[in-house]
Order: sequence, then C-alpha cells, then structure tokens
Amino acid sequence: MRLSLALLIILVFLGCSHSTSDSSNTNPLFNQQWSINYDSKFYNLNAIDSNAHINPQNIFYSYSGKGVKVAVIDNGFDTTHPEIKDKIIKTISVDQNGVVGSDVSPPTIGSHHGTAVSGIIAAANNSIGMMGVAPEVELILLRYPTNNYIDDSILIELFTQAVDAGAKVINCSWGTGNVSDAFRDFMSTLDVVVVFASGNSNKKMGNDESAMDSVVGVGATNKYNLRTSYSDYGKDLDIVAPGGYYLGITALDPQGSAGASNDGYIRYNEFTNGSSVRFIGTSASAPIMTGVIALALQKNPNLTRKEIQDLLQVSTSYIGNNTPYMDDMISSSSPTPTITGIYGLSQNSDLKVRLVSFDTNSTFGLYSVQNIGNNRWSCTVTDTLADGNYTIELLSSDTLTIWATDSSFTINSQGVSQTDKTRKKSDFYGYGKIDLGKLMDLI
Amino acid sequence: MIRYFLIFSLGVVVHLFARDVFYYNNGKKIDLSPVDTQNISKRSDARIPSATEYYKTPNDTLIGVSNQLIIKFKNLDSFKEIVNTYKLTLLKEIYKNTYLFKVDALSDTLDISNQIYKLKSVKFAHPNFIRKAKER
Repeated sequence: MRLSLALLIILVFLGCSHSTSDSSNTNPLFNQQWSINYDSKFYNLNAIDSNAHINPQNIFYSYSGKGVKVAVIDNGFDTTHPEIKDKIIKTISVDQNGVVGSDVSPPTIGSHHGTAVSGIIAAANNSIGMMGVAPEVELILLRYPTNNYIDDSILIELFTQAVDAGAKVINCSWGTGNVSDAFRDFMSTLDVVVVFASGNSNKKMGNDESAMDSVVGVGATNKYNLRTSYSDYGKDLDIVAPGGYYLGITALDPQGSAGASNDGYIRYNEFTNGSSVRFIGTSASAPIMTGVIALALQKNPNLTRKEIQDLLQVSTSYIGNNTPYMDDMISSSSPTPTITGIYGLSQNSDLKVRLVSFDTNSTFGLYSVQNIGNNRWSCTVTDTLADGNYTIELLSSDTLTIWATDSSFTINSQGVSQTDKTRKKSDFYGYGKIDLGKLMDLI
Repeated sequence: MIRYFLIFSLGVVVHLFARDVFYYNNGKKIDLSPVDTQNISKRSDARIPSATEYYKTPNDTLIGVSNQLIIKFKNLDSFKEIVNTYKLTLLKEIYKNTYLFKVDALSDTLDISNQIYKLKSVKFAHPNFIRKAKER
C-alpha cells in the first residue's frame, strides 16, 4: 500500500513536471514544433532551453481559435494544401493597379512564404503533418501585388478588404520599413489586431510598420530563449516569440514541385535538393503571435484591440538578450545625471556605462548598471560633468568592448537636455516574450 | 581666368536651381535623394514599376513617387478650392476624409504635396508612395 502510494505520487509528479508536453497529439510533426510544444526528447536532443516555447500549458486542449476570423496578407498561398484548404473562407488579391480579384496563388515556383505563415497559424489538428497554433480559425487569405511593390492606396485597400471580410486578427510577416502618414493614420482607425514582423536585419525598427502604436510588433527568439541576433529591435518592439535560428520553425510548403521542399512541409531542419530551406525569421514569430491572439479572442470575443495590447504587455515573460541597446535615454537634470534607458540585458549582465565628451574627447566612468525592473537598467553618474555634449556608451566591464551607444545629451545651465525625450510607449517594452498560459489566465 | 569665372557661374546657377527634394512625414521634413530608376531595374529588380520617380530616404529605403497623391482633410470645406488651385483629378476616397488624386505632371507630385501639407484645412498630404514589401 505504501509502495503504491509512493508510485502514485511519483507518477503525479512526473505528470506535472512539464505540463507543456502533449503526448496525445497525433500530428506526426508535433514533436518537432519546439516553439509551441515541449517534447523532452526533442528538447534534450537539440539542446533547447526548457523555456524556449510559448508556455502552452494545456491551452490546446481547450482552445483552437474556433470561430475567429484571421486574415493573412502575404505573397501567395497554396489554397489546396490539405492542412488549410477547409479553413479558407475567402481569398482576395489586389494587383499593382489596385484591381481586386480572388487568385492568391504563389507568384513563382518555390515561393512558399504565405503558405508557411498560414500553416503556423492554422494547420489542422489531425493525424497528418503539423498543427497550427489555432487550428480551427477561419482564414481570409490576401495576396499583395506579385511584384511586391505596394503603394499606400493598395496597402489601405488590402486592409480594408480584410476588415470587410470580417477579420479580427491580421498577420503581416513582411514590411516596407517606411510608413507614410496615410497608412499610419488609417491603421489607427482599425479596431482589429494587426500583427507585424519586426524584420531580420538586427537594426532599430525606425519608421517601420511593426513600430506603429496601433499594431503588435513581433521580434524573434531562438532555441536558447534569447532574442535572435537577426531580429530588429527598439523601444517600439512589443513582444518576442520563437522565430528560430539554429532550428527552424516547422511550417507548410506549397505541395509538389511548386514548393521549396518535396512533400508540402518545411521541417525544423529541412534540407532539400542539397540546400537548407528552413523557415526562420520574424516572419515565423508573427504568425505564432497571431495564433495566440486568435486563441485569446476565442476565449473572449469582446476584447478590443487596445485590451489585447494591454494584456500582452502584462502577460509576457522577460528574457535575456544577446545585444543590449539604449534608446530614448532619460537622464535627470543634474551635472551628475542618472541614466535610464538601457534595455535588453540579462539579469546577470556585467556591463557598465561610460560617457565620452564631444568637446574634450575625455571619458567619464565606468559606472555600474543596476536592474530597476521592467526590463530597464539604470546607472548613476558619479563624476561632476561640465557643460557640454556627451555620448553614452554601454561596455563590457572586463574587455571594454562597446555594446551600444546612444545619441548625445547636453548639459547646460538648464540642466540636461536631449533631442527626443518623449517615450512613445511605456517603459515595459523591451524583450517580453509571449507567455500563452499567463495570457489566457488573465482573460 | 574666364574659364574659372564660367565654372564658378555654373556652380552658382546649379545651386540656385537645384531642387530641394523632400516630403513631410509625421510632422517632420524628410530629405530624399533621387535614384536612377534605369539602374535599379536593370541591376536589382526587373519588376520595378515604371512611370515613377525613385528616391532614397535617409534610412536608405527606396520609395517611388508616381503622379498620384493622398490628402486627408480636416474638414471638406476647402476641398473644391484645393482641387481647383492645384488642378487635381479625384480618383477615389480611400477612407474617411482621405482622398487619392492625380496631378498633371509626375514631376510636380512632391512639390504640390508639400504645398498642400502646409494648408490649415489639411491634416496631411503626400505622394501615394510606392514601396517594396519584403518578406521577413
């Protein structure tokens, strides 16, 4: 009796130790979908950080995105793919002359991007292939001009069409890097959640679509549960989600010879015809977020865009980062300012701040950096600084390698000033990673 | 001596007539550098649309300007006056109080947009910019 009780306790403990593992899932590729499924064997074999997934817990048992209309705007889709064909409720194309049609087929052989993105969101939960984050959503597929050149009026037409078709979430795994007044203004009028990938150039987002206040901008994490080295960043980055680097994100591919692989799937380590065709990038992170938002809307269909954005803010898990940065540096009005505006450090970062005088080229510091919460770090200048212009540098304390610099600030009789002190979003924004379990608990 | 004078004069003339190329975005003046469209289409992308002037923004993004522009009106009281003054042809309303127009000459699109941007009755005006969507 005592032995049985001990065995029962052990079994219960083992069963609870990783609630993210789902042995009942019958999709053959589910074990390799490390972004949404903790499979201990796969994780150990590939040396994946145990928290690299989105913390699905048991959410997939209860929620599937059923009844939520999701639009994907992309470069073309295999609408006959068995993993998504039954979910497609409308196809819309807008060509470079603004003419609206319904043919959304991929523009060229091997063009898999839109199909891959759609599968990450919505691939069926069945006994073939992979499973999407929200496998029972209804898909509205929109193809932009096949030459990829889009003017403002076509962009607005695409989003208008998506909203008119009933979309509640719109996925955009692309960007132009240059948002106009018209597009920014139009997007602020929509009450649907629009998800944009932040880009893969390891640069500040700047005037990018993903940086707009009205959208959810998504960066990428890797198997080490860190922001990937390619993922664009900045204070306007809302959230990060797995996008892969060493391991790809399993995705759909156009079937047969039209695809990049041979069998309609791009596996985490896909290698076809002598070359790697893994699906990697913030393009993969965005549809994971889109699927998550669809699950949230299934649980509470009345959530507004703003409410979802707020929920995402408070439900993320903070992660470390391999490239700290400074942005919107804030300093107190004093010759010995306190500098806050350093983001993206891991908890145990051994970095320090140094100031360089423009006027005398002399340096001040090193000053220690302290974690002040909400993914922000701060340091206090202990030297008394003369009036003048200074650049802030973030360095490793042992090798003096410069990790990041920020624009100058000026000390004068009015205190400390800088050109742009206005924070566009709250201090929260940094590297907050999607946490599905926590998000659903809050809804 | 005459040669130096001619070179100096030519420099002055070029400076005087050089076109200040820019547009307004989010309340800020954004400088543009003209780009040779022929070179773009041959070297990097054969699918680039024609009948368009191309520029580089300060962050090195390529944007195209056609003979179309977008205006958002604060109110529509000045709609007719603006259309007549700048000889605009209405193409369509793209969303509330925001219209797509055509100008007569492609080379005037930026100048007209910038002039209209400054009008009190207008929230913003800019060319119907063409940009390349990049999959990420």
